[in-house]
Amino acid sequence: MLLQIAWRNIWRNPLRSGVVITAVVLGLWAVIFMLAFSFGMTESRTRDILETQISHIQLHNHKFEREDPGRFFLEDGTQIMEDLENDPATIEATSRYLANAILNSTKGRKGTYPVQLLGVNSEKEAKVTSLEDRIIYGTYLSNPGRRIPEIIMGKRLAENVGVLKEDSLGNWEFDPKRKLTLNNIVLADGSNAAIRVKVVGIYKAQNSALEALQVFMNKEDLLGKLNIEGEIHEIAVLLENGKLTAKSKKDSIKNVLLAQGKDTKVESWNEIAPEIEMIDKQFDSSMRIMIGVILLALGFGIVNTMLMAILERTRELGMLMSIGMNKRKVFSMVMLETMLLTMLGAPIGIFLSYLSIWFSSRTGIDLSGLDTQSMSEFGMSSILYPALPLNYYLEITVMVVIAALISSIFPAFRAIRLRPAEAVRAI
Amino acid sequence: MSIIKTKNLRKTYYGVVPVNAVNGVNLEIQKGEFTAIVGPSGSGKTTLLNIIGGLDKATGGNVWVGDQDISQLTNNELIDFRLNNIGFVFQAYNLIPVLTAKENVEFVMLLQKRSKEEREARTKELLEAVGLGELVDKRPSHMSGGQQQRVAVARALAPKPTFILADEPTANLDSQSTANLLDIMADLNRKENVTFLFSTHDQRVIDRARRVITLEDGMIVKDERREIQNA
Repeated sequence: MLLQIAWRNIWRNPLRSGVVITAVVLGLWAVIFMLAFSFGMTESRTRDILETQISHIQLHNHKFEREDPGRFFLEDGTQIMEDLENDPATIEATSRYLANAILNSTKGRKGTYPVQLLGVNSEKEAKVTSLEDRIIYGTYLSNPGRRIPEIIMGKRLAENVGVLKEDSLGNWEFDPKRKLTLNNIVLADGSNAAIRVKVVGIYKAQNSALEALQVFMNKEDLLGKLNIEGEIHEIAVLLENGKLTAKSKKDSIKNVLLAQGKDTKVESWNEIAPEIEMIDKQFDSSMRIMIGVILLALGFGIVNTMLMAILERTRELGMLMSIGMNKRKVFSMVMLETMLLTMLGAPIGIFLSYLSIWFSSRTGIDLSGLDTQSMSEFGMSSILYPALPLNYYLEITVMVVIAALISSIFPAFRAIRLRPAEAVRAI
Repeated sequence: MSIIKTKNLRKTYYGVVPVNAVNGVNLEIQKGEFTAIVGPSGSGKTTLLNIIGGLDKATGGNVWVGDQDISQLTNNELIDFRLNNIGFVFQAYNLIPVLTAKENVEFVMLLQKRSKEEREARTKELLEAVGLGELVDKRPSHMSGGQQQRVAVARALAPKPTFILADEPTANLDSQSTANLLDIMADLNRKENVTFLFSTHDQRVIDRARRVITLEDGMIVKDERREIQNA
């Protein structure tokens, strides 16, 4: 009967209860949707970085250094590449020849630009880093074997070296006939080389720092011009469900290679770019703090409402204690009322947020009205797809229950501290 | 046999000036009595009833209900004691507004953990005894003051208490409702030997009481027993 009384008590003042329930609904909807928004943002950013830049796993010589990537070749790289391509967990793998180089510009912003030259299999690279899809001016790399090798470069680098020029109307104009010289190409033996190249296309990258740094070229052309046999510095692998499986897959690849006596550096995405995981975790922590703050505010609202309800029902509570309702039952009844009030709003709020997230995850939220330039500096896309894994809903439900329990304690204590002889005569 | 006994009962409120609300009251109430405690405002009627009913603690002296010295009980023990031994009727009816008449009467028995069958049978019996057999499913807001007070009497009787304490039970009722309520209580007293102890200003209640105790300044100044024809 306590539950029955608690339930009916809630509806004694439908307006007040309605306001509290609405506050719970809106509060939860806002916090969950915001969580999904942030989660979608970090997930999309991470996915973009993994699928366009670093992939899930990278393999290098164990002495590999990012500052001087061309120095050490991957031991038995071709065989490792073949094995990885045959691995069922692999979606796609690509091998690269890497070298630091210098690009001198006599047009555009005149100067010397350090670049990272990547000799790639254009077909495989397109699949691993979506490079072909990211071409915004000109064309993708065609078949190797041209007299003057083709390269593609990022938009920012193209602006710097004057391959991409802005006319008086503010339109960008790409000069496909532009030929450049890649100087100071640092080779494995420490010697330098230079190649004359033709820019055939400009790509866009989420990360504008990479956009100003990386230059892609057919590996066959590069090795041919440098008179080097088929060597590999780097293998990048995309895996099925790779964000989650990369860590364990990395260990198994490493173990297999060790068993073959190869001391190869195998790194998963979180080791290559630990800042991605760190940012994910920071986003997660800040969202939890935000949930806490919103639930705290809701909790205070609920406490206030329940204290008012108790003040109005002082005489009734006095009567209940007079006729023999013990403190435990009075406490439980007030707690039940508070819990019911919260729990009525919570499922509606959670369901509404689920619907909103479901809908917006299909349509996407267009943020192009915002400062997309600075968003892309952080590797973020201008179309955001909110998403939230189910375990977050469960966590939020548990947090709401805890918040409701905590909010109910103070009013319940106030109720049992009433003195029945005085309370029963309260006006 | 006395079911209520007080010995040198005192209650002092310590404000700027200490007030002796109850000042050395010695009182015995026998089983089956129909007693009114009367006196001017501030004479200590309500305080005395509160102490006898275990709602308030005395500053000095003792109260026995049957063999139990309730002055020695803790607050939690007093709650259980009230549940099983005392029926309360309040001036403002004080029913649970979200429950029907039937549920209000049943509620006390539920606190006593009585069986469903027993609860239902006794609720029906009591509501019929107070003449509300047809209003069992009405909530207090759909009943008159007199009807609500009759439900309160049925509720007070539900736990089979040792006695019923009624604090100004007719203060909010019209003449007809007062007469009806008094008829019902007198009937219960006469037929079922239920003990009633009222505090009242109402002459109509005083006229029906077989014992009238007059309080002044917290002391009993008159204790009169009389024969009432229609009580």
